[in-house]
Amino acid sequence: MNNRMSNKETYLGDVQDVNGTSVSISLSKESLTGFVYIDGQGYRVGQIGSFVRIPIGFNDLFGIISQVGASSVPVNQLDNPDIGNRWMTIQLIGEGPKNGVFKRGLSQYPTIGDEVHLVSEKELKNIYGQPDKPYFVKLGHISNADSIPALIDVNKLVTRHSAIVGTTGSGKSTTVASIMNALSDTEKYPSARIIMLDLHGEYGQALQDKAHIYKINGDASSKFKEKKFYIPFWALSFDELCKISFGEFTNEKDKNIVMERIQKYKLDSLKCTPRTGATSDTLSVDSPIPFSIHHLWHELFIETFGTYYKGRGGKPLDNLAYELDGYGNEMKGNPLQGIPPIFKNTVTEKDEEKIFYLPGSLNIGKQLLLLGTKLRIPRYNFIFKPDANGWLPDIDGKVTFDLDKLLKGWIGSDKPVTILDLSGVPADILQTTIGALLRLLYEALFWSRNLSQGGRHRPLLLVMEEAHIYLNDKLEGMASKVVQRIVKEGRKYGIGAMIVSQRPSEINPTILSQCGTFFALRLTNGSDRSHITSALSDNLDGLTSMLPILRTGEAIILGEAVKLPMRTTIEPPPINRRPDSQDPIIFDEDLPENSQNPGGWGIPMEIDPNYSELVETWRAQNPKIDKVK
Amino acid sequence: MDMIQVDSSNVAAIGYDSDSETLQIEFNNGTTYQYFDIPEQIFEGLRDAGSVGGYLAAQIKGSYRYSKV
Repeated sequence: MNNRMSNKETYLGDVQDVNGTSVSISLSKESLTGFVYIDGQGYRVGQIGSFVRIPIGFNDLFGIISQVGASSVPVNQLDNPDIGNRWMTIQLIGEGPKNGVFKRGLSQYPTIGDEVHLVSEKELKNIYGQPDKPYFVKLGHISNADSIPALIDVNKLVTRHSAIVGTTGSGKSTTVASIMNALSDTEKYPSARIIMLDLHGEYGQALQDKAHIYKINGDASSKFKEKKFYIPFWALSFDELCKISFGEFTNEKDKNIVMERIQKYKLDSLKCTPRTGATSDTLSVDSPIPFSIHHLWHELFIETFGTYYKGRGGKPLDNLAYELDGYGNEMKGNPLQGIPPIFKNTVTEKDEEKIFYLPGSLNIGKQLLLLGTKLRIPRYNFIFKPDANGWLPDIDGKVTFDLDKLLKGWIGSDKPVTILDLSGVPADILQTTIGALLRLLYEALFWSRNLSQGGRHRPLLLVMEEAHIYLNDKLEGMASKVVQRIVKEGRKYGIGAMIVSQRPSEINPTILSQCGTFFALRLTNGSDRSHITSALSDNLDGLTSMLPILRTGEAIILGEAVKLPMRTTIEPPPINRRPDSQDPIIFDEDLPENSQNPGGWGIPMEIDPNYSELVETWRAQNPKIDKVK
Repeated sequence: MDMIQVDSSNVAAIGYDSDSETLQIEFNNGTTYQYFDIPEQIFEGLRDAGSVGGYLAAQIKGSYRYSKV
């Protein structure tokens, strides 16, 4: 009784029913005045998502309010006039000794008659407030308690994977930028290692001084000192290479012919240039050994389309019937430029020199024509011509740079973050490119797990922006397969994934369910929300029902990296460090002389607008026109 | 391009390349734009204006084409 008196101001009601972790509470008449004052601060009673405390002996149990009012009335109490609909349902989440440290999980349950109390800000601090340990980063503060920092455990965040979800405009990119800013604190984490897949080129601005930016056609003289992004084709596995270069094969036989030929090229290359770690016995068609796909293509092209002079002595391949150009030169084509040879038509007339198709010619014309196109189009240069003086193999498979230089640039540089700006990757190979890229990183860190630069000793965080585009369940994507492997096994080898998406319902459910920590921003769409709710391990329906009403920049963080689910107001980075994903301005709220926008509907049109530059950007597939220096 | 810092509520720095007649504007929020075919006297007017933001709004925005950099 004494105890009850001393805590009278926080007293809410009594436990009436315990069903697993969900507890029904009858509210006392006094507590229903709505406002409770503790230490001079006002608290609203019965707010969904707020915490309650149930003292049991020397311990306190803690729960989150998930339901208040008529729907919380237990069936057998429907007719009880004493309490009416003054009921509340809470979900138990953890316990702690009085004034001690809070822990997730329960060792005991409350029982009927136990008192339920409101949790004051002071007590909240005790729950949330972490000692000042360097493995916690601050992202903002708890929404209804400005004095309590929202702290994230970096250890759990990286290794147990995470997902950031929210409707467009809910503050997703800003949240990502905040997290990146916090994690790339070089004083705290001098060896942080983060790779961001930036599909729209949004993050250069936000992380410019902490990141190297790799971009297709990257411009070293630009503001962000972009480096050029390459994925050498010879580092791809056979399946990836086929998807990117040849397309589908109509039958297994054709595929095997190409496979054997690539294997042979790789073997020849290895004989010519021995590489530590690779031997002819262990070599497979998937081994990352440089070979010249250009010469392979040229050779296969001849064997598919070639004609030869039947009557001449020697092998057919020595007597190829090339067409002649205007100067009488044989049109042998040019492997490196993707120019195919041109052959004479077959001749079977009696009195002329007979020209036949090569015996046993291959049946992969369609695939070779497709690859030929790709070898010629500059858009594919980042794969097929990876820096003419670097990763582009000559006819013998000799390269100036090996994969070590590529990997060192991505994950071994002096800056903590590497942004891979994929905005220039052709849409038809985006999935495969991302899949290949992630597989390269995964394999490199997986095999090097005992080394100081391997994944176990210097873990990598992979941030995957707009993940619904390439982790879509409906598409049989390479990216989805690799990411499934990363989220399932990456923890052991030091590869953590952070999935960012506005459309979680389109992401493969296996991937989402492996994410230990969720940053859920405002989510209005019902199917997205139920997808998230089902992926959460906690029994916290009440919390997820708040998702549609979160304010911009507010997130519910729950899972392994936080002690308790918390509704957090994310602190945005400084204004010139925000991602470039703001909505276009239709009409600026600022006066014209203060506006930092040069366009919008409110500003007059220029006289005689220039549309040839508009077409220039489209043709060049590059938003930057030549005029910009 | 050499940039001149200016004191304004919205513009951080301005620069001009007389060969290509390109004016570069850096706003306080860090975004940078290049305006094309700007006569030198317009740039000088901007540089010497009492209110850079006001001059930009009155003389340049809506009259010349630009590209984000």
